[in-house]
Amino acid sequence: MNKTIKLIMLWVIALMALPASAQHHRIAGTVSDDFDVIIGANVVELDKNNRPVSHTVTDMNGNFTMNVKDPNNTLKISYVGYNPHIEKVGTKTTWKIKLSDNTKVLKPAEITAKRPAPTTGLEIPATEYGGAVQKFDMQNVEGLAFESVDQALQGQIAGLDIVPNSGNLGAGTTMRLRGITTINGNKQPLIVLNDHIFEIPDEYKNESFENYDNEEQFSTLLSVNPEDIESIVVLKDGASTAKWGMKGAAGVIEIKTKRGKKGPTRVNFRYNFTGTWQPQGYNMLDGDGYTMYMKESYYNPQQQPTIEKGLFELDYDRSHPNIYYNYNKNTDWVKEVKQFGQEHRFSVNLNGGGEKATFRISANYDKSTGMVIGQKMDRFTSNTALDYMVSDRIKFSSTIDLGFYTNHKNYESSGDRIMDRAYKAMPNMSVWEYDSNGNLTGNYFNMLPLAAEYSTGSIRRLDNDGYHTSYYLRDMFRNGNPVARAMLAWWKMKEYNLKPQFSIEYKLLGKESNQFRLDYVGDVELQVFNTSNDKYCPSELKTMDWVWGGDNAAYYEPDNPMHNERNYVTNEEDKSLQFSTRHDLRFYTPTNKDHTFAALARFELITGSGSDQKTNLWNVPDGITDPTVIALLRDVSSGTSEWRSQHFYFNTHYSYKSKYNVDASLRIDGSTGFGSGHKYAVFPSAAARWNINEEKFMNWSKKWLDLLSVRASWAIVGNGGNSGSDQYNKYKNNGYYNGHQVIIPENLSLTDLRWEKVQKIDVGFNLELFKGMINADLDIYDNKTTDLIMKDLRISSANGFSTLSKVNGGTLRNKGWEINVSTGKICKIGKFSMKLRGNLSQNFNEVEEMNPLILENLNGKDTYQPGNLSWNKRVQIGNALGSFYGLHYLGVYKYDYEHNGYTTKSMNDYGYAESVPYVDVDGKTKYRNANSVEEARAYGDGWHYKYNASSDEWKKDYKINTAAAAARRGENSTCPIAFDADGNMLTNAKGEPLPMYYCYNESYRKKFSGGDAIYEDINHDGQIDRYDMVYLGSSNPKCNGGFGITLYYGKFSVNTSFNFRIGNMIFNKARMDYESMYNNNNQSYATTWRWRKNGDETVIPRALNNYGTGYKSYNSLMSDRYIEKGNYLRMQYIQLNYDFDVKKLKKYRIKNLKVSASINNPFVWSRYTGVDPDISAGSFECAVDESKTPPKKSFTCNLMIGF
Amino acid sequence: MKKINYIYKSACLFGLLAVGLASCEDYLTIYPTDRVVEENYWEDANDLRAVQYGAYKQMASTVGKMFIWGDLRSDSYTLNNPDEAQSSHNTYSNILNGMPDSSMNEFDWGGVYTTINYCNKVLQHGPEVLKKDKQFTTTEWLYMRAEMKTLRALNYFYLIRAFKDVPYSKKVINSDQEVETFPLSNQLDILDSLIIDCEDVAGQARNRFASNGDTKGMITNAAIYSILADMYLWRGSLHQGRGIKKDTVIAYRENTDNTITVDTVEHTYEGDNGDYMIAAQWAQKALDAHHQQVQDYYTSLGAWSSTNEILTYGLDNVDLIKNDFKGASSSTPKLEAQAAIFNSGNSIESILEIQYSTTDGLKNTIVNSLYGYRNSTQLKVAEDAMKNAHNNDEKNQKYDSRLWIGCQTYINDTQAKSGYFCLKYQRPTLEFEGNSGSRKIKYVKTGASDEYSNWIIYRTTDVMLMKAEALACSKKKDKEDEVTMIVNAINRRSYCDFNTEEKPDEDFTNKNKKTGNFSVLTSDIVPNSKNNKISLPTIPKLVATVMNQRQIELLGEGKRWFDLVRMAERYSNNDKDPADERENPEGVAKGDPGYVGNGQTGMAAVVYYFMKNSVGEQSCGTLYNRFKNRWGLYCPIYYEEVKASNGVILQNPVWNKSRYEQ
Repeated sequence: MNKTIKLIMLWVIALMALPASAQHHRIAGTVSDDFDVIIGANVVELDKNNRPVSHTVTDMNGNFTMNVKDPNNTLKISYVGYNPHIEKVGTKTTWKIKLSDNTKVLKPAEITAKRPAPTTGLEIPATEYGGAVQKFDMQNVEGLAFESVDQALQGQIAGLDIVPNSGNLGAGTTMRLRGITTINGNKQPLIVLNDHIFEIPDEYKNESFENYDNEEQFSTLLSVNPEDIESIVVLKDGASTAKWGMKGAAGVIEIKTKRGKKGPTRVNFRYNFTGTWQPQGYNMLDGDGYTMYMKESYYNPQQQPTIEKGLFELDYDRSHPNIYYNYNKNTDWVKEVKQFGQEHRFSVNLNGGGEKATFRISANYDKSTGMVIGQKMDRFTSNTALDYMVSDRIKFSSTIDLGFYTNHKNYESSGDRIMDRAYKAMPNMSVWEYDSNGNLTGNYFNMLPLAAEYSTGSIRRLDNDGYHTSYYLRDMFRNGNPVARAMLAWWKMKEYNLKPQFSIEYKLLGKESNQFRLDYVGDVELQVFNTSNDKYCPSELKTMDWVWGGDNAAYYEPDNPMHNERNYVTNEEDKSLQFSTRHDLRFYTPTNKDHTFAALARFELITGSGSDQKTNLWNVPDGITDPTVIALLRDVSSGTSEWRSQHFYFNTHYSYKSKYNVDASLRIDGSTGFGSGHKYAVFPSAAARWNINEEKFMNWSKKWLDLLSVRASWAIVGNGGNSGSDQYNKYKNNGYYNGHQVIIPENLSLTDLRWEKVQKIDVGFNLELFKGMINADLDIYDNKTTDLIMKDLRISSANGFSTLSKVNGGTLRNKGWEINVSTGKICKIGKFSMKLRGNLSQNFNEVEEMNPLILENLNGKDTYQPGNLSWNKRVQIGNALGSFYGLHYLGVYKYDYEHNGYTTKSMNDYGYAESVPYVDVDGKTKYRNANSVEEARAYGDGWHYKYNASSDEWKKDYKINTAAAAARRGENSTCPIAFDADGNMLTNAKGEPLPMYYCYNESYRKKFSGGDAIYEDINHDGQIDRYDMVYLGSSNPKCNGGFGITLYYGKFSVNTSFNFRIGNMIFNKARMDYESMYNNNNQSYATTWRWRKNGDETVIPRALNNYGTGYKSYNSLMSDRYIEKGNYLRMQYIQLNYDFDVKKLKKYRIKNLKVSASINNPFVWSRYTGVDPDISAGSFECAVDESKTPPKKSFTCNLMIGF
Repeated sequence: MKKINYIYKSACLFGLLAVGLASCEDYLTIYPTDRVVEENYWEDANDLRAVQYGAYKQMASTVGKMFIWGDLRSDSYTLNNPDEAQSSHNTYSNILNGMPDSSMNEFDWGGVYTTINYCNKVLQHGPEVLKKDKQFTTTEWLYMRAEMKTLRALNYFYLIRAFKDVPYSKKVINSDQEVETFPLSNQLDILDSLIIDCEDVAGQARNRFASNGDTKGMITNAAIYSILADMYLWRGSLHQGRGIKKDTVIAYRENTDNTITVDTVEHTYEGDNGDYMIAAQWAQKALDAHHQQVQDYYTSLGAWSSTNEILTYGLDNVDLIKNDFKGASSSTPKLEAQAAIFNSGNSIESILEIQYSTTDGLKNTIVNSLYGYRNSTQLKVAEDAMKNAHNNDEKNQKYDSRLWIGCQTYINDTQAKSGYFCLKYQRPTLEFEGNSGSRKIKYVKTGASDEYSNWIIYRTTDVMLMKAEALACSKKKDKEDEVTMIVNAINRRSYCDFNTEEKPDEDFTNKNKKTGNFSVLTSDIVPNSKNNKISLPTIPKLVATVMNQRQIELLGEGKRWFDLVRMAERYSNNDKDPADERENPEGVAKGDPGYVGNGQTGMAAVVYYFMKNSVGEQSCGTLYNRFKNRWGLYCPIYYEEVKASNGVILQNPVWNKSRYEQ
């Protein structure tokens, strides 16, 4: 890197030294206006490129003298409020100059230049560019409180699907532009800030596809203040993203921040306040409901009160006061951990500049509290933009971004968040601790030390002595007191991001657009990115013995020592530094000709390095949270990393009269991630555009048709998707054998691994009518990813290794279309007008091919069987990524097998003596008791009939409570019996029906019973296993989009925005958890409708505790019971703005005053039963609602004032 | 002109930047900082050694599977808690009941090929390092080469005993481009090749290492001779069963510089130069080399004396339960030899044992989970099988300190567990009752499970019994006395007389008397089908005696199933069945030297006879049909391996109906 910097320095210096020296000559003169001499007027000598060469100021008498360096130069005399005077120096030595007042000649300037296309690196008009791009102006959302800019984009860009990860502070969003094009690479669109890739170094991203998008990821965009953003351009098609090469394969979001503008210095100040709250979640059981449920769930498995007898926590038994007083409450834990969140945001910016230099400096500070107790976030960002025009030829500019942010999150271990814990916690438990006399102690209540498991024999301690937490409640013990946890334990995340950037632009040939131009642009950027994570879990949260391992709690899950977190301190530090440099040569032919041509050559080089370290300690002395003290060291690790990449990019543009336009580009990407021979890859692209409205035959429509064009683009882009160093044959240290050091070869080198290729085809149309009043564009695309990089291919182990860590194999396709329409101010009636916008898009994702072995590896082994409370991630050829697979849920067995009514035993036990109709001698139909089983079967209708002697009638007496009887009555008669495909009962040799099994072929097979979930036996083999799992839908929306209406009335405006997703499915894992009745977690109120006895008709199975009893129920397998439609229409915000009349405020020196108020996320129209249907579809996983903090609802008040 | 100059200069600088900074791939090559890459490896002898030790260590991680392949399927074990619903329990239960399934990762042979690959790597890079590292001598390289070639052969030998035909390659695969799918090679061809490999380096390895641990933990000449004895014994058995008497073998010999010489060798598999006789010779050579090793070791300690000479074939001069105990009143009886061999490890009588230790952090997991008695122990020794091995002679069983039938096993002083468990590697202790002189063993107490116990691959008694088996199979009358002598020598030291007041049978203490009786094997047995009455092959009593002794002596050492397979192959009555389409190439007819049949009834009968002692007649009957085919004796190939081969590797035809392959 040193070498690079040196070279650049050398070269910059060389350029500076180029202007040759010239001879001097002395001039003098006076500056005046119509009335008097001007004191302090600027006198500047400019060379032919308008670069200042020498400079002086007029004195008290308006006189000046100076040495002129070259008679060919010009002299510029200027003063504030006057038109500058410019004249060639020549041989004139004495000057008399009169400046005229500029207020008199000010005329509005008319800009005729065409809007340049933002994307190709060349300055060409947007109407000549053939790719698919959509621009978003930040003014549209001014005054709204967005944490980061991605939230503002939701529903605004056609084809961009944005879903917030959670409502926690700084949680970020999951973005998908035109679907998922890769499985193991980055699926989020690339963020480009001011023409530089804005991302945290690869090393800190988790490359595993399970947690790519979870909220522990750094939300990169947090360090860009939405206030500073000028505009956002979303690049959708391959030709547009070609410039960004492999990193842009998932689409690109280009952000431009504001820069200084010529004019007097302005100061803008802004304050907004946001109040946030959570939407209503699930109704959970209260204390009584919970204890009842628990008693039942422990009784049911064995039908014996063996276990729950010892669970004093459920007994409301005063003889154990320590337990009684702390477990007789009705605590709504969810309510306890929720709070009203507040956010204050202050921002200030300075903006101004003159002929030579402009600047903009901004600073922003937010302080917010989350919707869950214990969450706080502080953020400070600053952006400095400087532009200095040395001359018409040379321009220096520099941007310095600084972001510093601290996020005080809830302490997390093993993935449980506070909200999760609150939903799980025992509602009969107290938040605050009571002593044995029933007085509050002032401490949070933590469960008593956990009772031990007897170590000898296999008998566990069932009896509680009143001073321990029952052993069977150990999961609740681990869950702890959510409030105490939120308040006492913490996780401080700090992030620093510093990005100085410096660039120079040099016009080597012409300066004007009607000349041949050759421009050089050089750019250097440095990125310093540091994060630190400190976590602390204090001993107050644990009631077990001080010494680790002294408590048996340590043994109940030996694999996870995190549960023994007592005064547990973690510190993680990551540091990285990245340097990138880029050099462009841009060539343009004069733009006023019929044929225009432009070309770009670019070279870019990136190099960076990082280091990280991590320390975990426990049993740190009380009160100390520093990880450097002496304590039990659990884990310490550190690492370093290095990355480099470089690329060449060539781009040409040709246009004939702006009618026929062609672009073509070639990018050569180099990456360290591949082996020799595959390090470089070439990615071509081409785009064409025909502006039909420019044709002569369209002259008739000139009046109303501004633009009608057809675009087409094609590109092949790459996808790196490879990290790590498996491209080399590595040898690693592997301990010792008999005291001798061992080194072993670690891998097969991946010399054959290639880049993922994404072929992107896009056809689009643009339409603009009535001078921009109506704009519409339509795009149709087809993206095909081949050579998908997949992990862990099993190979013949005679090769010495059983797997190849990565291999190309698989094809993925995304097809779709999108339409985007917007209007100018229409319906102008008096002071009233309105603006409309809307977009709609559809994407079809399909896995077309995949190596079967890789597929198997992704989908789990052949031995996989559906399990409780889990779901399987599955990729199937022909279906979309993120599809759901599971069982069909058909309700709850009304009867158990014993109550089937078909076997002799069952009939004997539960009644078969249905009465048989007969005709008596009088010809009347009467009933008699059946004489035999056969008779009862033939005639019985499921009722017991009783002869009433007084009325001489047979009356229905009671329903016979068996499945057979119910079937005869025509009622729901579900019973765990196996049926064949024709609906006939499967029977054994005796004619008895065969019971239904879970996984009959496995040793853990289990008979289904009454009150158990009914799953459809798809293959009719009498058992529920993986062969009964079917496709249940996809988590990708069939279509999504958004629309907005802005109404104007004078200085008032009302801005609304809506977004919607249709046709996506969500796996409601939260509901699965809260209705499973599988463990000791609190359950949803819906479970009070559970099955309790034979004959109950319900959709909620019976309570069966699997946790303590060792019993296995299979009532919460992945099934369509939990798959719900995620359709929704959300009103994102409604905002009221008022712009004060600036003229009236002039006396207060206020140039600008605006107030606005908005309500964010006030309504969601959805039939989804979870808290909020905005659930991100992970990456290759499906959309799983795990009751994370839902997206917030909030209101914002905003004040903006400018001086 | 100036302008052009600008452009020119700028362009030059631009070009310079582009070229100077980005010229070659070097810029895009970043080696990991926490690993050594191939490009920087293989520089000196230490690099070779580190991978060499890696091969041993890798083998240490596969012995668990080798135990399952070579012993778990045998008649020696039953399940401890048949009701316990653990997934591994289910696996063991299925394997024990003769229903191994290709989905069980116990049959994933990947780890063994990893060991083979490490050996290949060392063998490939040795000559090049020899040139680079001037301090690395040819002698040292030859030692290393002998070790690696033998270790590779040993691992292949395990594979062909467990799976019959396996992929055979000596190639080093480095990258994904070179990955191949190797087809299955014929078991006998591989065995021939392995024998040639080992014979090439026999005597070229060290006689012993500086430390005793290395001497036992790595390949010495004694180990090579032992492996050769084992291989010849196998080849003899395979040829005998398949009726092959003469053969021509093309021998690819790897020279020290990695070049290959091709020889054609004529082999006769019978007579004085037959496989059995050569096996006996190698076994004797191994015992002699081992004896020399022990002598050298004691001499180096300055502790060699003529009294050590009484070591018979190198056996420890102690009984398994120390005889000193007799008559003593207070001292706790010691399991001295047992403790020395299985717990302390690296005993005198050991020839090759895989080293586990706390310092290396290398655990012997199979011993930890299967042996001894704890709640979680899953295996139990099949009493019926042991009775059978003792010829149903109760008295003999009582005296045999290796078995102690009738004693209860205790895990602590209060919890008794009847039956008995494999206590090798478990540090058991004995508790006695009664007064001195009339003591009885009250119970055997399981010690702490020793997860760091070494795993013995060959020890002296094993080699002695190999020799006995080879001599017995050679049908040479003049060798019978030696066979008896060997069996008695091993038997004698295990017999103790304080289990009961009775005295042990004189037969077992007098080494000159012949012993053993295998009468049962000559009777007819009836599998589940009534009409399908078949007769057992006649197995000579002497052979049967040796096999029984092997079962008792080597219980829990990963040998018994291989012994059964060897016996079944030997008496497979090859002529009775049609050709096996998978194995016989076109044009090879019945009777041709290359012909390999299914080996039908004899094979099934042998296995049936033994298995019924552990799994019971009922379930064994269903197995009978499977064992009729030779393939039934061998393990199924892991299903992923079959899938990954894209049809090149065919599943073992007996086991191709996996639960999961539908």
